Amino acid sequence: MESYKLTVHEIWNLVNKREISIKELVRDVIERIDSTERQIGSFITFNWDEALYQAETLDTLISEESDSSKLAGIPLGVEDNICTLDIRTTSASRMLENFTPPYDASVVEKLKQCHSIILGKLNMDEFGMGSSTQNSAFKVTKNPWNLHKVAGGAAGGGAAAVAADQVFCAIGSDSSGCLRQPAAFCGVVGFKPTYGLVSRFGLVTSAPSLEQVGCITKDVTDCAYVLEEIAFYDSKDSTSIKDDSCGYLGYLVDGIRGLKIGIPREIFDESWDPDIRACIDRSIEILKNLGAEIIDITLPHFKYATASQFIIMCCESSSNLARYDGIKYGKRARDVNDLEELYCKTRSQGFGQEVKERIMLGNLFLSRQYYDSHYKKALKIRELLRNDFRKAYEKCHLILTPTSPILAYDLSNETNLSVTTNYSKRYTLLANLTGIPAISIPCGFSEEGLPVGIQFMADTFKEGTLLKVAYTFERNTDYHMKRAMKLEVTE
Amino acid sequence: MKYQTVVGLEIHVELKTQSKMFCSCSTAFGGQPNSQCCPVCLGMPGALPVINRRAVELAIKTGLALNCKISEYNTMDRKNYFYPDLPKAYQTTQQYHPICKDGYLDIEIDGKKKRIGITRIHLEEDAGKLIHDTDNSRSLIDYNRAGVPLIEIVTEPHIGSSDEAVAFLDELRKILLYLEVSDCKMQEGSLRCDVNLSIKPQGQTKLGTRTEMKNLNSFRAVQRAIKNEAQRQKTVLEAGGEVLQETRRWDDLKDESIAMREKHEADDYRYFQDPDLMPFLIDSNMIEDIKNNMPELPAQKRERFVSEYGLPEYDAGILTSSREMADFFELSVKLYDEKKGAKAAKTVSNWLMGELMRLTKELGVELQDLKLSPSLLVGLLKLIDQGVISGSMAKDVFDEMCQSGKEPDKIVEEKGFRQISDIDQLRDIVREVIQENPKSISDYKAGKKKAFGYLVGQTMKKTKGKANPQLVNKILQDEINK
Amino acid sequence: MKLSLKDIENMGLWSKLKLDHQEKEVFLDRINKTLQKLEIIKELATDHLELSLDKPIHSKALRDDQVQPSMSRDQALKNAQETWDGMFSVPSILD
Ligand SMILES: [Zn+2]
Repeated sequence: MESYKLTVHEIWNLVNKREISIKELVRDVIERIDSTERQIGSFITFNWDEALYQAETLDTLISEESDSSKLAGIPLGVEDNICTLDIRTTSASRMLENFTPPYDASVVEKLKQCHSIILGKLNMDEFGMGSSTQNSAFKVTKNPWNLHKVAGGAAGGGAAAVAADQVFCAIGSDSSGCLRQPAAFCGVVGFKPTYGLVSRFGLVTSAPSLEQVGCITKDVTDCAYVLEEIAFYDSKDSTSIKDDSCGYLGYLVDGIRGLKIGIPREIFDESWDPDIRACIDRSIEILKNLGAEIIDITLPHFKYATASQFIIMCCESSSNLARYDGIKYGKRARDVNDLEELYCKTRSQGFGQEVKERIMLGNLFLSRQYYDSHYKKALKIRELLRNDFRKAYEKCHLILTPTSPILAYDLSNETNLSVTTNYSKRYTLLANLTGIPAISIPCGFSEEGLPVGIQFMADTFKEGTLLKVAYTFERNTDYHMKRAMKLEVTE
Repeated sequence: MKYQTVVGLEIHVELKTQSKMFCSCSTAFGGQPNSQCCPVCLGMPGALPVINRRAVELAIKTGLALNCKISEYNTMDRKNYFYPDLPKAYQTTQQYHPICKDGYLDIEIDGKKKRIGITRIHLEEDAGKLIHDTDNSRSLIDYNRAGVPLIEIVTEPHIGSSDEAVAFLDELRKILLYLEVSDCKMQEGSLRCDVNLSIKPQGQTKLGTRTEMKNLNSFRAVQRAIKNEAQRQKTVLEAGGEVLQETRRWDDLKDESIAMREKHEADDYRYFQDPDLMPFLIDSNMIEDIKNNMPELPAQKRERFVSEYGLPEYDAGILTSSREMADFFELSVKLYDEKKGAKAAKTVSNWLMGELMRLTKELGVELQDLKLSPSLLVGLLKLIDQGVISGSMAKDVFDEMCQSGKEPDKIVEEKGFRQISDIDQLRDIVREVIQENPKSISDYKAGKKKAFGYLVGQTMKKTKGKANPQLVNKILQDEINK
Repeated sequence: MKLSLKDIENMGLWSKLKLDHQEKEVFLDRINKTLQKLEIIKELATDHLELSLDKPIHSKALRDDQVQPSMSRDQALKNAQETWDGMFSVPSILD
């Protein structure tokens, strides 16, 4: 049985009816990974032995527990910047090549309580810096729909793994669209919750104020299943928020009549891939037919958002990545004569080019001379943008954009990716700057068969509204049913 | 030319909390290296800080005692620099919105009051400890202290001499101890002081270039360092040189400071608000709560001791030097005399300032380390009043009591210290002494008053000091004049 | 506002990165290009705006002063490349 093709909610039904065992499921999935991983490259570290061991006992355990979690027994992947006790956690950097955390991230602790099965750690751009997962120190992840294309990033490993049926869901983080953009590139669902809704404790983050833990799943129902478990108040994270509006499964209803969906007029002037424009236009028609009202809104400070996000990300990274000094963990340069050399050699050898550049820029922006003109200004833009959104939400329930204005692009050796390719994230990073929730779901394909994603953003804590519109859209389309099955299994 | 010394102090105070500033590791002093660490205080990837409420409360308490404004809106900021004792390569501190601002502390110098402005008090975390293994040319790091909560108290440059600096520190230390904010043990590093010093020609308003002096481990070091640095700067200026803005390290053994490094153009801590910590608000309820639980401060207590007990200023100052001593005094007076009369107060004061201070000094301990209690002391005083023991015997009983904690009358009993107050018994002894010392009697009668003292002494000797001295005096007078 | 090699050196100093001459040139070029792209924010006048003091929405921003067990020393030290006698080790800081 090709059980790896299933979704989380389908598995849950089958397990409940005893039509499938977790043991079988895990074996199936591991076999699937084994046969596809060489082409895709979505994992950095496998955790198969433990997964198989865990699966041995889970069937009995789940049948005994009356209210087992919907994620019980579900094989999933965790992005490699989320700490896992005794499982190597590298953030795709040479710096942490041998780092084995002595603790679990809070979200991992929760997954373990749910009896989810962690199959391994997923590839990403080094410290989340990049948009194509070409910036991993270990490997490039390829797009399962077209192996010559990028999977997107930073969480390209997660998106590719879900798209290639290697895992049923991926837990990762999003600081500029790192879950949503690769999800769009790979034709799956990417979700970034409201800032503070999911604990960041144990997330190896570069940009704490922008980054949020979220998930990539095969469909919207699965997304709600995962969110239901990973959204909780965590006293170990000062930015964690107790939200009482949970019960996300209740929002999985087909019906958006009267819902007002705003489209920021600023984005229409921008250059989009024509195939994407066609998909979005068609999606708007679908939404209208489903009873939604499409209205024109404005985000006057939109054009400064990318720069603001980039500056803030650099500044926070420069400080957050300073702890990698060769002393307490991670890489340590050999043959050094003094402390200064230990620092400089370790960091020069441990970090990739992109990371170095952002650290340097961050230090520049925070220096006395640039603080006001860059860092403080970026913060002000962020506030102005928050205001823009506040005003927009007075007029509409949701805001719609393409997830990315461009399609998954060719794998390349281009190294200066920072600002140029952030073009692909200019719509997603808005949610990171302002802390609001956003989701990307499949909304069509390009002529050459690459997936296209549509993004919905809602006001803070309006996850429910997001899930409702995404679910309704999904129920009335079949893009999510198409899988990247063209993978040739070569032996 | 005459120069004026201008000093500002930066005082780091380790707060007396159970757990660290941002994590739940213990702050206990002296644990095995790196045994009080967790992912948070080791700066492990992914670990996040959460602020200790108690640390915030202690900072507010200090701010209130130092007449500061308490900020409603607070942020924690990062001070970025690399050093092995700093696990995250930034110190979490308060640069932009410190918790307390614009306060002052009055000190007394040569009987005159002087007000020293407090610029700010901010919360921050301590760094780890470095141990230098020079034989193997390496330095070792213990992060137990990393993340222990600190406050930094920054004064205005209002201090004009080493004596003023010490007076300020002394008063501040007393306040911090009264508030139970910190242990203030300089040798354990829970109180540390940096000195910013410049000099300027007398009368000039513009400040000179200042140096910053670190590694001052005692009040004496602060005093020496200020004198020394003022002199050094003067010498430099008088030789036509220029004082450099630099950090200097005080060497207590050599009694001199050494330049560590000059400030560079590139020196830049790149402060910014810590995105891992939300701004936190201090509401008026929290401040009111703390205000309502503030103890009486040393200065207030001092004044009250003078007005309420009629004590001399000097006594009041010494008795209020610690909260324990002041409480001990007050309780003793109350037990001794319900009306808390001036005489009773002075008697208690004399004992505390005399015998107690002598004993603690001899033994090198604090009041708390002794087994003395107010009721024991008052028991002893009552024995004296009743004439059961003499003043000099009482001193022996006192020493014994402080160390064993036994009731004074038990000690008197055991040691057979009971005073001889039986007139007939004493008269017999006095007569013996007179018979044995005819020379002294004639000397005395010839006007040599000293001879009388000798005879008293002889009587005391015969009774092994147990004779009631007043009675001996009286009987001896009677017998000689008979 | 174009950077000079001296600026790149300062940035390397702050970042504790060792840059040889060629790397400095590469970074200079890349970073100047990046800065050029960020020039857009100069269009927007924000000097008249003050950052609002965001009221935290978190009621539990502060925690109680309670001690919980720390990690074992082995756990604390296990990821370090060089340790001695239960401590982390670096080249001597006293010269
Ligand atoms: Zn700790």
